[in-house]
Amino acid sequence: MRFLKVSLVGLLTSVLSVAMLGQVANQKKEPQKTPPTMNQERMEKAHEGIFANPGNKAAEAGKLTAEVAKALPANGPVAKIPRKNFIDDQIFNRIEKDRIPHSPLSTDEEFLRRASLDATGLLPTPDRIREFLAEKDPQKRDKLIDSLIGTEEFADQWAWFWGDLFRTREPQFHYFTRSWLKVDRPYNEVFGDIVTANAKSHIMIPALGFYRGASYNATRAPSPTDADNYYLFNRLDFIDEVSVDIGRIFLGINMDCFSCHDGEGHTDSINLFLASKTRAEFHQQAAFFGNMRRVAGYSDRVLNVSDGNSIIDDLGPGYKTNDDAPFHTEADNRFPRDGRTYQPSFILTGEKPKPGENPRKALARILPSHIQFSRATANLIWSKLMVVGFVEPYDAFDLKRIDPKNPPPKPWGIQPTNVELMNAIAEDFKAHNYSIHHLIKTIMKSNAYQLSTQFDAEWKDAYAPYYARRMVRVLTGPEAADALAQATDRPYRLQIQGQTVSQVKQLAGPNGVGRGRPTADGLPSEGVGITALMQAFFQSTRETPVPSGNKASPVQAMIMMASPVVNSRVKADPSTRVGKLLASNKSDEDVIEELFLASLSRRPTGPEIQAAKELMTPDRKRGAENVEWALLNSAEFLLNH
Amino acid sequence: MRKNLHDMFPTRRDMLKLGGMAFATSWMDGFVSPLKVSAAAKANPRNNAKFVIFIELPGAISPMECWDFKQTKDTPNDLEVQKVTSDLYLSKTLFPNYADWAPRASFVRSMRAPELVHFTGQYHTQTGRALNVAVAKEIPGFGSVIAAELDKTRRETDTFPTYMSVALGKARVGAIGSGLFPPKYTGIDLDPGAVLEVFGSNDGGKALLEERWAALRKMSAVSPAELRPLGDKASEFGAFYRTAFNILDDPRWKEVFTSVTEEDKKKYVSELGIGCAIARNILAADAGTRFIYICDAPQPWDHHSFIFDRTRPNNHYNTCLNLDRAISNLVKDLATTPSKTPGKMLIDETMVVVSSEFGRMPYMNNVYGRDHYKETYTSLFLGGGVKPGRIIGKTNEDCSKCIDTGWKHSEQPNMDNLVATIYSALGIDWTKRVDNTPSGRAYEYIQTAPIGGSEFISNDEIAELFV
Repeated sequence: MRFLKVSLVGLLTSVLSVAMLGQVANQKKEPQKTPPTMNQERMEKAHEGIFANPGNKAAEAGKLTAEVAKALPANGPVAKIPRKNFIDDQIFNRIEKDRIPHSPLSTDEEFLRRASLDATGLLPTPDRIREFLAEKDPQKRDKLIDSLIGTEEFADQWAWFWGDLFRTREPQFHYFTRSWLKVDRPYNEVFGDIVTANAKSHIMIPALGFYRGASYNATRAPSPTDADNYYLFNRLDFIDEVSVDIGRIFLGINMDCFSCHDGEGHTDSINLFLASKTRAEFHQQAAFFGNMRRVAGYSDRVLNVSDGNSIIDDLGPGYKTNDDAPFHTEADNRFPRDGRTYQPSFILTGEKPKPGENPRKALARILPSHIQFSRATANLIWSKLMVVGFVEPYDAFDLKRIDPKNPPPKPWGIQPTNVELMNAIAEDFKAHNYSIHHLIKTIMKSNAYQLSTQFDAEWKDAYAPYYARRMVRVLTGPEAADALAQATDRPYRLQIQGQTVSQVKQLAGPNGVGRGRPTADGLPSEGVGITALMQAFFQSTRETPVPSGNKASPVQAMIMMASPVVNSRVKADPSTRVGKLLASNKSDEDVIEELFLASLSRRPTGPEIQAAKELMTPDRKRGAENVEWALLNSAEFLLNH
Repeated sequence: MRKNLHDMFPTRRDMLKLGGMAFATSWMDGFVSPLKVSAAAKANPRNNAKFVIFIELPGAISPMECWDFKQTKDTPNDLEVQKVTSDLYLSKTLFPNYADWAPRASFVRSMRAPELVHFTGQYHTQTGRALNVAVAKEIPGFGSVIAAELDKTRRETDTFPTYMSVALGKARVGAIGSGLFPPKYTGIDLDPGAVLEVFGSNDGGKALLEERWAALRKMSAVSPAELRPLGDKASEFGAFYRTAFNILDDPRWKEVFTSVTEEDKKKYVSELGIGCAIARNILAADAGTRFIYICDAPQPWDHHSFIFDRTRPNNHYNTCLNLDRAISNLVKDLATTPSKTPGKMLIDETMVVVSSEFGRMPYMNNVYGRDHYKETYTSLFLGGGVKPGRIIGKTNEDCSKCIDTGWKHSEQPNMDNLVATIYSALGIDWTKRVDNTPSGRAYEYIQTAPIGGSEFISNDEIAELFV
């Protein structure tokens, strides 16, 4: 029976979604007319036996919302939101101009939890919450943000974010990422570090870890017949993969399509910019790496070529597609190349290296100085903090649709949700020496970021590009895992480079969790359970580019309800928060308040205290465990809101 | 098991959530509901298996000693090869229990892969298509496609998800999600090393779960986040929690794990075997699951060195024995477990498919191993509508070349065609495509023109297995 209810709810979601999506989602394909309607007859037929008349239920839902909105105690009229920076100017000007209803500012409790999670991936502690709520300083939110950015925890959280993008697997490359995040190395110089690195052993220069993912697609089966046999590595395929990765991450452009064939005739209905690009232009972009070689060393131990000791140098013959001896020339994972030799030319402007300039150094100079580098980065961070990016996903920029002064032909529209704001943030980022800290702080300090999720009017999908309310997002895998350990005060014992750490985010990547090795002190590792939890929250293994997260699924619920990683932390024993609280002399109310603060980062309401107290009677221990379990399994815990 | 009738209909609260949703996330997800699926209307799926179990042997099993036996100078001399039929020779050393499963089996010896590297190969196996990084974000595991297609056949009593997997979380590419299909079609992945404890334990059991569920509902009823909804993600959570609770609360679920007896553990032995025992129980429960993907994770078959050396910790003697025990006991158990259809056993309704991502080199290398090889490899099929004893395709004297594709096309079959065969067996039209994808690029169930090379994939099942 419950399943049917689920289907019903899910179906009604679909009904309502269709109308919205037709309007907003596929601007690319259809003229901006009325949205396509659901075929009523077909839908009813498909869902016979579940309910009689779906149309009425949808209307009923809308009516109920309006009734309840009227019945609930009002927040009062939504006060005019103070403008704190240029982001607020852009957002609220537009909202006011188009008379869009919007949320009020978040409460301190909402803000503190959200800011802590976004900046550091961690929940605020109960003491910190009490302290923050009691502070009277009108600048306290800005000061909180300043205190979070640049900490060790900040570096862990954002190193994981970039690690997913870079597909980091090795600790050395992870430490490289973490270091530049901590010290706020200018992002253009980070790019330079990555594209110009070379070394005898790729593990010794951490930035070269960037190339590991790309080389997967380029390596043929290793055969230890000859230690000098470079034939088994396809250098041009490798160079192409690297170029695609760079385009995705640093320019927000997916060059994979025209890395195989001209865009015209293939992406015309998908992306105007890509449709205008040719394979020759891709080869020219890839040619910046034309002299780069990755030479795998031979390992006497495994009697085979080994990834562990690759040389990266610039002794290659250029991007010559007719003969790449001694490397394998024929394309393995792309269509055959045309036999020509290509010279480097930047994909967006045609700029070439200066005479005598090392092409990789030229790329390090040319690419970040183009505004698209800043736009792509601004978009990446905006979408992470605001949940909805200017362009989604991050690598889907259509450069022919981002200039309102040069709009694309009908029926295409302008692509980003707010072009002016995106450009303003990009310029500001560039003007501040490509500082990632500054970029994050500027967004977080805006009141646009600090709006509440509560929305008292009737929400319409068309309001989304206005950023008129805070959107919720599902916690990421490591956030969910670490929040669980934090809320229950029972840290993990994980290992990286011989050190024991207590948070998943302190590892180099998801592979670092381990599969069940006991820890140094002999306690059984929770690796299997933690990995299952993270996978349920759509943590990728980093083998392929990361799919969009922010999805809920029943697997998350099953694991949160039944996994020993959760249940061992819900038990009232000396190692858990529940156990410690019960063993103290605290009253029921105090215990309940502490559990709420530790997991939901807010105080319980009167009715919640009452309900929890009832649950703790007559069996206080079992009741407290059940309350803790219920808190951890609430949407409020598993969402960043 | 089922509660009151009034639980069937959404409560006011559910409707509130519906009305109060913030849709932006679904807008941004790019997932469009409903998906615009159309068929080329040329296929006639056979619908001759109610269930399918797919067993992946990642790392790649060696054909020339196992299922496409060839006597060469490199063949070990202790294989005790037995003639099963004029076309089929199997090693008694490697597969001591072959008599339990070989008579039912058919083989496709002309398989071909475009990949030579594990992760792209295993990606191909799990998704049924070659990797295209440009759209990888939206490509589903083929199990999710099955779940989406068979959703309409689910019954009121079904609680288990249509698609489940075993050990994919430990595989090299991980458990690939539902891609452009809704997240609810993501399979539930079971780790055989952990689930017996997680879901089969007597840790309070059903009573505790229901007590806690009641506590959750009581707390939710007064929660401000419920009264004034946070957004559609919160509502999705509510819906998924109900689904998850229904599964956990269904006594058949726990039974799947508690019915893996000590005797089973002795018979099945390895984690692959335990995974097969779990699969057997899932199908016997008949609680909604139709497709199970078992991965012999992480990658035990990749014997580049000392492939037939018993002194090495990992070699083909070990892996073949694990596989043999797993398949023989699975087949025996399915053959003796009645299905819900009168007069039939589960084996009559379950197609079992076993495959790797590519083959192994026809010649041994200088460390007595076999490297990767893509030109020929063999997959195994049995049960359901598969006609036993078919040998489709033929290779030359050392498996280096395919000399007869064995089916009606001149191209060798790929993993894509193996997936089409599974779709067909389950009654799914493999020529379908989804047009309104997030990227704009159509998702064809079988990708006939993949990147990489100039080959096309025949848009066809391997029909010769069934006739």
